Amino acid sequence: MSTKPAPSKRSARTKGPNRGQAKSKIVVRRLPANLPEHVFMESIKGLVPDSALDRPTTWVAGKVSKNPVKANTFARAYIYFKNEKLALEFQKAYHGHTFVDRHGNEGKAHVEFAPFQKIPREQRKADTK
Amino acid sequence: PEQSTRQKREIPPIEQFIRKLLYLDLCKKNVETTHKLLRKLDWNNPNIYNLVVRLFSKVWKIKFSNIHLMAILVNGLSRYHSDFSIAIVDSIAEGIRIDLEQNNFRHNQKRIAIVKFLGELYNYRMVDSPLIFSTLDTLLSTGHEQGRASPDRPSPIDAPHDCFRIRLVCTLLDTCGMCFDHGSSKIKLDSFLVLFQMYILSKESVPLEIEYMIEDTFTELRPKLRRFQTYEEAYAAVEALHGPLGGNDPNANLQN
Repeated sequence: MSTKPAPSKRSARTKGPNRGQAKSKIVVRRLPANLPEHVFMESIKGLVPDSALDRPTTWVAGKVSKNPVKANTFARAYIYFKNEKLALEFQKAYHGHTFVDRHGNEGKAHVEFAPFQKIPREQRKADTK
Repeated sequence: PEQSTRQKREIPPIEQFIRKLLYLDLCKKNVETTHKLLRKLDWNNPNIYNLVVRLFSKVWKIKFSNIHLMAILVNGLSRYHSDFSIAIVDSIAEGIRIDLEQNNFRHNQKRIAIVKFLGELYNYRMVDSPLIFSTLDTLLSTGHEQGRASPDRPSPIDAPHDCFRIRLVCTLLDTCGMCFDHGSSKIKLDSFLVLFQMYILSKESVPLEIEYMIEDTFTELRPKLRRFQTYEEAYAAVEALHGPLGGNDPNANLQN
């Protein structure tokens, strides 16, 4: 199973909502379900200086299933880099990063370009309702 | 034997309310009111925000024929909460990926709903066509060497008799494939259909029911298309189209 992001065919987009933008949004997938956000943030801290980021990282918590029949849901995170080069450097350094929990279960992080590259607007429009 | 009664999870009232709005009441007539009610939620509260993202991502809980209403709601809410609509698309894209990797038949119904939702999100302009095409590609290539299915190299997560991915591709194409009828997206769809045919022919056999589904999709999208009869034929066409190692030459498409 290939987990490395395919080399971008459209590094500079000519149309669409992300016009003229290279791929810079990274998803870190398959993180352990019980991984707390602060542990993850700590683990990327050395690799991701604030100056490399476009906006704060989004964290999506995983879920440890109470029902033994159902599988756990992985946690994941989206990191918005300023440009593709920074994103690739991070991918190189962090792909396969291993987390080990209390019971010795290992979880390897997968780092890929996010399939959906759109980035949220900086400020929200106030909703007057 | 003594058995403790199962503890029921206490669902907070606000979650019960949103669940009822989305999973039970949502219908064509009340999309507008539902949209207004959702806008009144406390979006700055991270708990509420995460809750709404979670409930919207479980799109298989609502009636299949109503999935487009969810897309309408996402579209409406995206005006004020662009981060929300992006989080939804991200989680849908991730859901499709993870289910491909796990290939758990228990999730089949759920997977159909998710793919349908992605198509509807395209129809309501929440995602662009590159995401649809990259999803289509992922659907066929995940778990296969060089992304190309072959009868000689069966994949552990996509067995030769497992035709479920064909169903997913057809569902997605039936939802939004008709939009790709001109310009560069037409070319892209044409070249995808070649790849798709190769994938279909790499299967041991296709059940009649799936065959009908494929037939319907092709008739709808490209009624004049002559389908390949053998895997070798399709493989040669894919090589001519994408090159031996996955280059992209849309002009080689003319032989269809």
